[in-house]
Amino acid sequence: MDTEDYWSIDTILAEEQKIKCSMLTSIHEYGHLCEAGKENLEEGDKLEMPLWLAKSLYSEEKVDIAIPKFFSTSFRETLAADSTIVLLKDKCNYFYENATILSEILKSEKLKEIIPVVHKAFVERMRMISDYAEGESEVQNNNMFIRRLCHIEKELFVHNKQRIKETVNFKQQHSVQENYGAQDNSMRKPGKRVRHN
Amino acid sequence: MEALSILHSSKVLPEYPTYEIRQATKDINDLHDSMERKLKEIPDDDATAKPEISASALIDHYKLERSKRVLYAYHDERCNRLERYFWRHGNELSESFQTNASKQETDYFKNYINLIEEYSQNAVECNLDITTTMEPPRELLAKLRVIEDIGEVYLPDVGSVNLEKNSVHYLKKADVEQFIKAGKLIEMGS
Repeated sequence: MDTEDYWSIDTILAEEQKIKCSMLTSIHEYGHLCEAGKENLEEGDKLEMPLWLAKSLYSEEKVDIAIPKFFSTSFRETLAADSTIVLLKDKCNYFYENATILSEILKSEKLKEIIPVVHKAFVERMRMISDYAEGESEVQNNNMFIRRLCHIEKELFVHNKQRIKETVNFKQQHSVQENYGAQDNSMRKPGKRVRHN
Repeated sequence: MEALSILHSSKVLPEYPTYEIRQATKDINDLHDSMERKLKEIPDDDATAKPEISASALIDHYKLERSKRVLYAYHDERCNRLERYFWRHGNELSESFQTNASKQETDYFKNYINLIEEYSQNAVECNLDITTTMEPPRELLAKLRVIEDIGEVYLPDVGSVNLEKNSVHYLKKADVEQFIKAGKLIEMGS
């Protein structure tokens, strides 16, 4: 996913993710972002704001962004141990997209540890997705499996399944055409009606 | 934002959210007014005099830009769906599309068709209908089953053909593209 694409609905939805921030300066009005009824934002206030606003204010040095929960040490350890069992969708539906956005804007040392873990998890889970897409599992099993996947993984799974289906169809048609060459094809004349049920 | 999520999770064209769009437009105007009011409080000769007010105006600006982006992306996606509909199903909008599209979107669809027709007539020298045969044919003739009674039709290469329900024919796809798009004929084995 291109995280810079202005028209991308996926990017827009990904950037709606709430991120914990702390104020580096005071800001008139907008106190309600911190708590209901508060008039102004004060330096040191801690609040949650959507990623799109947090990254803009971070670039102006108005806020500091905290590393989100879905990149916490304990979650990173779980991911590193066995990424395939994690219900990634429950943690963050746009997990990889947000990892990309945050890695582009934050210069934190902590992120240097996160990115390899995320990368490894993606590769491992992609193998799992390919295996599942190729398998002849029941529809119900597929549905339970899909619930574990975040947005981009779900799309990849659906694409994978579709490509496999198309390949099978292509091979079947190819073998039918090969057999067909040996048969009488006199019926294949334009407009010829071949069957009537 | 909610309308954008609904559109994203839907494969068809959801009902045009007139109220939400008007509300979003009003919010954009309010943000613009708020930004102007705050900027007037900052002295012309010293832009750094009131940093807490200029930061507040900055948030107004980001929110305004964000709302505009959401609105643009929302309408762009709806227009793309109407265009894709034309290439897949032809120039007659289905009942659900007709009901859910706004008047401006219906006009957009009509104008889009006119533009394609104009292009076909003027820009394509060999008198080619660019809306047919969207996929390269695997064979010269396609095996087609009639799903809905069409009756006797005249086709340039084969002459008169009776396309009655459930009958199967070998025909050039380009000759009967309109019936395939309308769902009256389906290609067998596809």
